[in-house]
Order: sequence, then structure tokens, then C-alpha cells
Amino acid sequence: MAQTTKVREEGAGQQRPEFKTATGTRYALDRLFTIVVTIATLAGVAVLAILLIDVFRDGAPRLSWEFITNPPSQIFPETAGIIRPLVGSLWLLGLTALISVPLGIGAATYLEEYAEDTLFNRITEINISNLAGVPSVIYGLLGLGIFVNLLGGLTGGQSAVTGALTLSLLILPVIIVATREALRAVPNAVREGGYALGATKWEIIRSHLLPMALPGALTGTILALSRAIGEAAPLLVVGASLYLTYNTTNPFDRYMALPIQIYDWISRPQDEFRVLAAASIIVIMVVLLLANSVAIVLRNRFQK
Amino acid sequence: MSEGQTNPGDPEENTEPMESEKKIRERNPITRPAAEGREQGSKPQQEGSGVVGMSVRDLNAYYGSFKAVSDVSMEIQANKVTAMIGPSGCGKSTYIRCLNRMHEVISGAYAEGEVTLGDQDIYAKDADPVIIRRRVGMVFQKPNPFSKSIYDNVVWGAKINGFRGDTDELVERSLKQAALWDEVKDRLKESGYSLSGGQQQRLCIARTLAVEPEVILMDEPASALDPVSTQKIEDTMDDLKKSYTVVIVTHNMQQAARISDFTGFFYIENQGDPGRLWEFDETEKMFSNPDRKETEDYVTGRFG
Amino acid sequence: MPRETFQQELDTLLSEVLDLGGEVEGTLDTMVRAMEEGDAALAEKELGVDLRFKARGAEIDEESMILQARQAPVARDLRLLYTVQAVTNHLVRSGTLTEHICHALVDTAECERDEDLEAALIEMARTARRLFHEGMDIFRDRDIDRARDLQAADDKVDLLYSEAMNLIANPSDGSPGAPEWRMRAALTVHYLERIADHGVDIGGRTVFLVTGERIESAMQQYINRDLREE
Repeated sequence: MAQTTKVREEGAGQQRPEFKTATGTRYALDRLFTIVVTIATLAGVAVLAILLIDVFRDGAPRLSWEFITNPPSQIFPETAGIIRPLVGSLWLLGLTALISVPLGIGAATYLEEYAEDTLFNRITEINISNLAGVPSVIYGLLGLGIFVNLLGGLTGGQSAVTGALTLSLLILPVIIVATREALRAVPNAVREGGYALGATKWEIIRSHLLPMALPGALTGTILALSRAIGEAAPLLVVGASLYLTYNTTNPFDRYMALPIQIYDWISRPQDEFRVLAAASIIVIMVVLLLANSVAIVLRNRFQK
Repeated sequence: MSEGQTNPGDPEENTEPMESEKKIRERNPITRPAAEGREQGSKPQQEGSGVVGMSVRDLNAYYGSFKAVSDVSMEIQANKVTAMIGPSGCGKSTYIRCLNRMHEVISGAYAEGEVTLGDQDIYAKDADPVIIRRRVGMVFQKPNPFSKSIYDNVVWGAKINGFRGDTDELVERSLKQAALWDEVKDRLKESGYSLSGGQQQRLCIARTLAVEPEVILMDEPASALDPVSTQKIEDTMDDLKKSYTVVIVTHNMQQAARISDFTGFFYIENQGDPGRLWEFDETEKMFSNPDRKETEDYVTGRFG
Repeated sequence: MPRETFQQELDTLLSEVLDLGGEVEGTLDTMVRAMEEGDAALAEKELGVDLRFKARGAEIDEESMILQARQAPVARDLRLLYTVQAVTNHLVRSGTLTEHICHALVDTAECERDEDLEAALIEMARTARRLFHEGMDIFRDRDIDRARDLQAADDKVDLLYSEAMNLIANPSDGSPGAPEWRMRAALTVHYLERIADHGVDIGGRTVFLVTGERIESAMQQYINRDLREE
């Protein structure tokens, strides 16, 4: 009580000696930090912007309907197109999504909602996070061993299915982790509310937890699928074709992939191929953008 | 034989059950009646109302190896409000969650003892927790409506429990009983989250009522609410006890004194001991002339 | 300690009641002495004292109500406030009655009196004083065992009362005393019986304060006794 009266008596501007306020320095540091984080952001954005501008400058003029529908060529860059790699990548995108999304969300739901907190499960949890960091080419080797050789009869060897299965293995940990985080973010009160009404675990998961977790899970899934579409190394190992004479029409066909085609063209000395690569990069980004939009639409539908 | 008396194994019913309500109850009795020889005393039951009381004998509750509640026995009379008071950490919430088998939802938690709902032991080997939780509903401290519309919030629990009747009528009836209908009747399609705290809590009460419970448990239902909302909830409880049996945990002693017919005082002698039921009597006695010193110290605020 | 301020407020209130009780007891003592010694001057000192008692009583009531409004007392706190208000009422009434008796003493100082009746009055006054002191002691010490005995002592007052009323209705053979004096004597008998009653009631309220039971229900058997059997 005595202290407050003292403050009033001394009037504004008087300060207790223990509080050495160096407000000048404090504000300066505050401003400095704001500038530093802004620069960090701009740096990342700037690099991305430079990349995009460069690619667009080189590749945009090359874009045309023929570019999209013509088959690729090593010999005639003027007429080369990306139809086969594009079709291949779309197949891969579709099949990978079909395989990895249900598996990933299912596994995450099990681990988060059903699994007991045993040593085994904790070890599993740690390993799943580690798997997300394994180099993608290793997954290629795994795919080669299992899907191409061991299960070759079922998968058709070096087929789109094999590619999709390999990519699914690659991105499964990412989807699982993202979905688990999303499920964890659902407040426990929702589960309790469900149980208190006499619901079973599955009813609560189906009606409340999955819908509430879906936005977060979808975000993670999209990131994962984007990564999958951009992979070249593992696909090379499991036998993506460098050259096909036909379009992939069923999952057991052989296939080409856009990243591989880009890599192929980039490594050629001629300028025309570099331009082709740039144009392909634009196409790949458009595909990703469309896939992202689908996910955003789905997310918004569940976020009401 | 009065309307309210039933044979073992029959679910209790209202004098004029609605077809839909009848279906929920008929479809979901607790699987087997309590063993013979448990006729001792008349189970607290209101004639003709289909509402039962509960009987607790020697209930112990554990979290893993830690005993949280020890040797609690009490009679919870039908169509009355029974309040649990006591200092923090005395096991009141743990105890009340044993009455609808919500306690065991937490990993590693379990309870031993006998808890009869009407004349059926809810901890019997073949008792179904899911059914019990419909018959003994629960409202939580922090309002936890689902991320759905107001309408769907009320209807969901009933639907998964097999309700096949007129959902519009069910929603209106439940919201009226929870004293919320007038405030939301024009915006039933809006999200449950668009309501204020007090309204959300009444929505939670409405959805609990929609599944036609016999007993309603309330764990500090008004502690997160402002005084006006609290008053509305207390008024609601006065009406609720005409058709249901209510058990409430509260930290607010004046609230316990105002609304309850019976009061139980929980107490821990030393840190780390399990909570015990120290005294249980009519509310008037507990607040004018309790038998035990600790009870009197607690209600007069002289604790510690 | 929790609610220390509230506890202090309760203690203060209680001590005010005890102070008031002490003063009323003092006035009562003076009155009895004045009767025994026939000293009207002594009685005159106490005239007007009831105004002070009433004022103090009103203050105590007010404080009591404020405490109830602000502190929402329950259990023993509630019983204490309830008892404080009841006891204060008994004290103020007793003080007022004592003052009326002193007034009567002063007014009839020169009157002729009935010796027998006067002796009975003094006896009653002594008894009333004793019972009142006893009630206050019980309240001060919270000694509820003595309270039960006090309820029984009420009988003696009833007998004295009957005897005195009889004497008033049927004057003895000696001098009946002045009519004025006789009238005042009748009133005094009534007042003394009331004062004794108040004292006994104070003891009874103490039982409620301590145990939460009303002495009437606790002593139902006693209340239903047949007086003639004593």
C-alpha cells in the first residue's frame, strides 16, 4: 500500500532506482529483430521469385497446345512435347494418392486413437518420424527389391503401379505424421462429449474426429503428394522409362515421368532442350497448383 | 403393481413413452440384470416416472496404481439433486465419472465396487459401457459442443443410439427442456460455436437430454460461466429434477446450498491419500449443522 | 488463517454483545440492591438507561445484518449471527424492563407497602437476577450442560410468580399498602418473571449455537412434564 502512494506523490517521470529502464536500447533491439525476420522472409521469397521469373522467361514462349500433346524427342527439340511424361506423372499422382492417403490416414487414426501406450508403439512412433528423413533413392531400392522383383507377378514389374507403390512408401510417413498432429489437435473434450452420449469409438472418429482433423491432414497430404510428383531418383531405380513409344493407358503399363524428362533435357548442351525443360517445369507447377486447389476446396468444405 | 415397477431385465419406461423413446430403451437395456439376492432395501425409484436413482457401495477408483477415491458408498435418490463438494483434488470429479463409466476411458484408469442404476450393476462383467453412458448422461465443466450445426449437435447422439422418430420434434423438445429454444429457434443451422458460453453449455445439456437419459451427471457445469448464465443453468436444474435424477459436482458452495437436496462432502486427510466421502446428508443439515468438524470448516471457508 | 477478517468481525460483534450483557447485568444488580435496601436514590441513577440499551441493540442488529449480506455465512457462523440477534433482543428487553422497575421504585418511594408482598418481590428479584446471570454466564462460556439445569430452574420462578400473584389478589391481614404501590407491584411481578425468562432463554439459545438443536426439541420430554408432580 505504501508503494502506490509513493508513486503518486513523486509524480510522473520519477522512477524507482531498481528499474533501470533503458527504453532506447530496448526499442532499438525490437526494431532490429523485426528487420532481421523480414529480411529472412524476403530472402526466401526473393530466391523463389528469381527462379520463377527465370523459368517463365525461358519457358513461357515455348508453351503451346502442341507442346503438351506431342511426344518427347531427343532428336527434334522443335517439335518435342511432354504428353507421355505428363500422362505418366498424372497416373503416378492418381495411384499414389489412392494408395497412400487411405493407408496414411488409417495408420494415423490407429496409432492416435486405438494404440495403447506400450514400448512397442512408442518405438514405432519414433521410427515413423525417422522414415520421413530417409533419402528417397533408398525407397527406390526398397521398391526394386519388393515390388519389381518379389511381387513382380502382381505388379507387372516396372509398371506405374510399382512406381506409385514406391512413391507411397516414400510419402506415407509424412502423411501419417501430419494426420496424427491434426488428430492430436482435436480437443479431448470432443471425444469426451461423444463418449458421454453413449457413442462407440468408431462413431466418434467418423463423425467428429476425422472431419475436424481433415484440414490439417489434407495440408500434410498435399505437401507429401507434391514431393512425390517431383521425385526422380526412386523412379529411376524402379524402372521408369526414359523413352516410351506409347501413352500409359493402364496401371500395369510402363510409364514416363516429368521430373525424369526434365532431368534428361537439362543435361543436354543445346539451348533448345533447356527451353523445353523450363516449359516442362511450368507444366509441373501447374499440375501441382491444380492438385493443391482440389485439396483446398476439400479442406474448406470440412472446415465449416 | 404400479406403473413404475418392473421385472428385472426390463428397462424402466415413462408412463406414456413416445414410440421413438421406447425404441431406444428397448433396444438397449443393460445386458443382464443384477444377481439375485440384491433385494436389500427398495432401490430409490420414483413411481411411474421411469426415472431411477443410483446406489453406490464401496467404490474405489484408480489411475494405474494410484488410488484416487476410496470406499465411497451413497444412495442417490431419484428425482433429486445430489451435490458433491470438497476441496480440489479430493476425487469428486473422478468419483462422478465412475457413475457413467467415463473414468475408464482414460488409459490405465479403472474402478472397483458396485454401482447400481435402478437395480442393475453397471460394473457387472457383461454390462455395456456404451449403453450405460446413454442412460447416465454427462455435462462437462467447459462447454464442448461439436463442430456441427446446433440442430446436428442435438440430433447426433440420438441418431447413433437408434432414434428413428421426428428429429425436428426431438430438437425442439430437447432445446426447450434446456431453456435454449427461444434463443436459437431461428438459427438452428448455425454452428454450435456461434453461441455464447452459457448458451453452449445449455446446448450440451440439450444434446444430453436428447438421448433420454435417466440420470444426468454435471461436473462443475457453471464454473466457466458468468453469473447470469449460471443462474439460468441453476433454474434449468430445478426443472430437470422433475424428470431426471441429477448429480452435480461444484466448487461453489452457495450453488450447492441453493439447488441441491442432498450434499456429499469429499475430503483428503493427507497429501497423497485417496479421497473419501466424509459426510453425506440433506443439504439443510450440511449447511446449518453438519456433524463433522472438517465439513463445517469447509462450508464456513475456514479450510487450511 | 482463511477468512481472518470475517473471524475478527464476528469476534468483535460477539464482544459487543457481551459488553451489552454486562451492562444490563449491572443495571439489574443495582435494581435488586435498591429493592433490598429500599434506596430509591440508587434506582434513580438507572433511569433512562434503556435508551442506551436500545441504541446499542440497534447497532448490533445493523452490524449483524451487514455481515450476513456480505459474508454469506453458513453453519456455525450463521448460527452465531442468528444467536447474536436473538440474545441482543433478550438483553435489550431485559434492560428496558429493569429500567421500568427502577422507575416504579422511584415513583413509589414514599408509598405505604405490603410487607409480605414486598418480601416476595425481593425474593423474585433475587431469583431473576440469579437466573439472568446464569444465562449470561452460559452464553459467555458456551457451557451447555448448565443450560439444561437452567431450564429446570425456570420452574422455581413459575412457583414464585404464582405465589406473588396470589398475594396481590388476596392481600394479607396486615397493611395492604397504597393502591399505587400495589398496582406497581403487580406489574413488577410480571416484569421480573419476564426477566427471568429472558435469562433462561439466553441459556437456551446458547444450546442452539453450540449444537444446532433447539432446546425445546432436545428437551421435549421435559417440556411435556406434569408440573404438579414436582
